[in-house]
Amino acid sequence: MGFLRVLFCLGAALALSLSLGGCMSVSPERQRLVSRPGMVFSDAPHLSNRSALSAQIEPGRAAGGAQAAGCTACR
Amino acid sequence: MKRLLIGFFLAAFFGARAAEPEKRLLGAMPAAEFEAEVLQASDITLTQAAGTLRLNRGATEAALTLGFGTLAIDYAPVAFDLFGSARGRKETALSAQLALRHRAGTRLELLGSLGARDGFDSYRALWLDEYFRQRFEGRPGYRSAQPRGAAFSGGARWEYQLASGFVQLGYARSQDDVAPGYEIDFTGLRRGAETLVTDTVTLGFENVLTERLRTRVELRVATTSEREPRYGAEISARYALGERWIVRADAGASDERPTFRAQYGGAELEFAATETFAIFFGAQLYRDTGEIENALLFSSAAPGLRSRRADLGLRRDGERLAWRVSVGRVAGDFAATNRNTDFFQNLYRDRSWLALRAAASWKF
Repeated sequence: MGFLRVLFCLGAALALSLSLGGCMSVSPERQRLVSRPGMVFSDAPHLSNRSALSAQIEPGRAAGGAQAAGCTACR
Repeated sequence: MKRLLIGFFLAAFFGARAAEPEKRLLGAMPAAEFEAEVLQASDITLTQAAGTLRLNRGATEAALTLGFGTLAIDYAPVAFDLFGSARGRKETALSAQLALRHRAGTRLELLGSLGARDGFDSYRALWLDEYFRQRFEGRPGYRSAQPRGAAFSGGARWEYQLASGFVQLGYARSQDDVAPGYEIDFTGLRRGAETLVTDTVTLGFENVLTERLRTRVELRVATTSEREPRYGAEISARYALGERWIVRADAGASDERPTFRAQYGGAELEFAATETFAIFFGAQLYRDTGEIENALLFSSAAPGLRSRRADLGLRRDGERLAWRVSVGRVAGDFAATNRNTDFFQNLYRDRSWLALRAAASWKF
């Protein structure tokens, strides 16, 4: 049920995002506010609040692999 | 870490006065990025620093990143652990990554990366390694851990709507040699999985929905050796309240059968004090149900966790030099261990973490 709940919520968000994006195209010249440094999604470290260490103390944020929760060293 | 932070501030100070024409390196426009982070609790200190050199040559950008991290723990066994002794332990981890981005058309970008890491990737793995070392070192079947990993990824980003609609699809594979767990029975010592292979597929959408709102949605599925798939999703929004105020909000969830679930979310409020300086304050909440227990006798699986985080920071957006510093507190509260996990009461105890982060980008 957990997965279905996650999928439902994100599917709804995705559908909303895509439908609004499709209906309301914002031309580049009207994007002054959303182009400011604090408004963009960027890999540049000074524009991102992603923490390289936070997955160690909040394991559900890790995508997978050894750092994700789920008994990598568990017995 | 102190030297790294001093170097960062010196670079920021002297770099701020530069106004020369852009330089070229190997015929490409270079840029450098630097990031340093510290998480510190009373018995654990984690640091991570990374430097990136970006070379942009026409349609192709290459980024080489070198990373260095340390993990320091004051290992403490529980009172009824007759085989354990308190011991400080410090490990380092090195990493390197080469990432490429190529514009294959007016609206299509191809992405790829290759990376490797040598060293422990978490304080928990280090704590568990020390526990098993004290208990089983010298027995037939025990091996000193040498954790390392390698990964590659590939993907594409398509601008399906001019400057306002993007979709990105990615695939990544990583292989991690981990510090294994051990079990002992009448047949001797048994070692747990030593190598984990993870395949991850991500699908993301970024949209400018209005003149003030930018959103991103990401769906993710990851399969790791001997485990059920982990599904994850995140949604982020950036909203301009006005000329000076911005709200950033994020929410996400992970789910892995049979019982692991995590939810997290937070918001950040930013105020642009001047043209180049902005101050921000953020708060985040996180909770999970704890890891999957698969042990017959005892387990090192973490119990459920709830944590709260608050950060305060400053950002400067210069033409060539941009930087960001923040300080925060994270309070993590674990649920009580049970009889299967009581040996790890000190690993899974509540902690208050000091979080420091500094990052900078510099165009030559």
